Amino acid sequence: MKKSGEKKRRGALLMRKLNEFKYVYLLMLPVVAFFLVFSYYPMYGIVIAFKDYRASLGILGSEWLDPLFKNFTWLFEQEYFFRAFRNTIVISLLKLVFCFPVPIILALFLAEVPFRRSRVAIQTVMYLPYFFSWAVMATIVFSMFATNTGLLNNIIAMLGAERVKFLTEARWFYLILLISENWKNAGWGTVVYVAAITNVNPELYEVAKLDGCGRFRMMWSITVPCILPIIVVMFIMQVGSLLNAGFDPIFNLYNASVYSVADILDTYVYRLGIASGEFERATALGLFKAVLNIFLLLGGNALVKKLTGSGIYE
Amino acid sequence: MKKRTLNAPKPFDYVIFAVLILFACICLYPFISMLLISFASEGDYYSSYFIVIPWHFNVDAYRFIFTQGRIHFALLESILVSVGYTFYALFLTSLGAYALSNTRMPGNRIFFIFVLITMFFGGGLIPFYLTVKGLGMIDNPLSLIIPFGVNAFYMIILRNFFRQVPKSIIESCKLDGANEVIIFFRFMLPLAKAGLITIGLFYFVDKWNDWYWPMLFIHSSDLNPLALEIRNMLSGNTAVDFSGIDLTYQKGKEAAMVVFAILPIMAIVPFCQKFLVKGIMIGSVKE
Repeated sequence: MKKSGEKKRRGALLMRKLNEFKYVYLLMLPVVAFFLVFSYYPMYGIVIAFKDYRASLGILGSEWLDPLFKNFTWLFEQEYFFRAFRNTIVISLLKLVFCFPVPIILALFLAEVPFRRSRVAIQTVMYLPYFFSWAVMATIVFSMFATNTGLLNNIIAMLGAERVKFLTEARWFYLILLISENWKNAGWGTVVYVAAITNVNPELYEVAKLDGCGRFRMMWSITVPCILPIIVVMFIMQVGSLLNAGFDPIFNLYNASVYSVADILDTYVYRLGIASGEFERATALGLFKAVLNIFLLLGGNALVKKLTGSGIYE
Repeated sequence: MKKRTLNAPKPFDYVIFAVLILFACICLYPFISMLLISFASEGDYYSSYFIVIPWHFNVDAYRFIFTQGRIHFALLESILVSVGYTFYALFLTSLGAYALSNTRMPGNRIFFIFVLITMFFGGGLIPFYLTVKGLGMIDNPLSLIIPFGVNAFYMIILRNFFRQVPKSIIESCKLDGANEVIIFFRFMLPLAKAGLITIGLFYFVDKWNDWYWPMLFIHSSDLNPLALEIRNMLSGNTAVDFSGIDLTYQKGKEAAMVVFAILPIMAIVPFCQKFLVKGIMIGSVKE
């Protein structure tokens, strides 16, 4: 008796709350519809990885494949698949080593600039490249590394050495990619660290100064440990996106002569699906990547939660 | 930033300044060089070493752009699509962010997870392409706008802006009999103006720079936006006829196009830097 009464009261409370927020539900309706059409319906579309997709029959009407995982077994027999997988991991790891620390160092240096005006001016210039598209960046990178007229080769030629074919030789690709990556993103990447440095307790520096600490010593023994938590979080997030080696830069910077080192999973999906029209196989590859990716992301998020008490996205 | 009494500069300061200035120059050099190339003559271009100096200053490259119908149109299309998209995306995003910010609302948590799932997992390239194709939007500039209405990450940033609006304002509105629709349009949107500007800037820049989706969705080259023209120029299959016999040279025209592509960014980013940085910081603030 008492229980049902409580239930009733709860029900009434819920009804009252639903009524209170009825207009909010109305307002969020278009957003829900948007996600259903453009995020959840494509998720349903993944089933074509297991089907013999015919556009005329639609997703539902197309036949299931006989061995259901035919597209996956095909994929795992491809030499190009392993190449793309290896390149993805290699490029991500290279970025972790050569791109991840750069914004941290730049932020530490920026904090040492005593004049506010010059600091802001430098920051403004540093942020710019982040906001240009990779198509524009690649145009500029190409013109800088070009064999006959590029700035770098002009310097090399002036020093009396032979001009280098930076853009068409596979061994130079990673160098160009990492330089471009840092050039475009390192400046903007400082934002998070600069903010973290701003929040360091100034008393720590005062005390250290009384103890006769030098500037570099303060940077190393106070600033770095104080911003270490955010560095760790950013690092884990970076590891979590190990399979996203970055479509845009590679797609704009690579060409057929460097595929052997430059082709990653994302560019392979693109060429397989859009350029060759193999929708089912490309979808299978996309699914393979998405599933691995989600484990990495959730793993990273759980780790961050354990370390800092709250996840990345809430 | 830390306050310090200024002492005489030490070697340490010089190292830091040198590194920062060098990096800033590297960031700036290519754009200045593009600008100079676009005003130079072919002779200037091939006779220069480190930076092209436009000894024979001319605007032929720009004249070419404005007499060559296609680029003209691409520029106009980019402006229309980017501006239209910004308003459309802002509208949808703010609706969703408002719902997220109502933490007392039943189902708020479910909606949050509903959104979060789309950040972690998606259908992938081909199913998304087929969805847009199925809606008959291929070869229509609307395909560059409608399917990209909400960026879940920006929505969470905007939610954090909405959360900063004092609860007392909303409560007193409710006491005065205002319903949620009125509160949203009359109070929340104006009070979260900083957030809307921030997110709007990101949306605008994203769309302005987008060459990838136009490459997939726009099949007739008459409808290419500027960013895609740049991308095509890069990969050498441009629809723009550069071969016409005129006085300008290829590099100059390319540079002039790049200058146009980066002009709005150069005009926006340095002046709105505060907003952009703040947006990212508020977005990552945790409760």
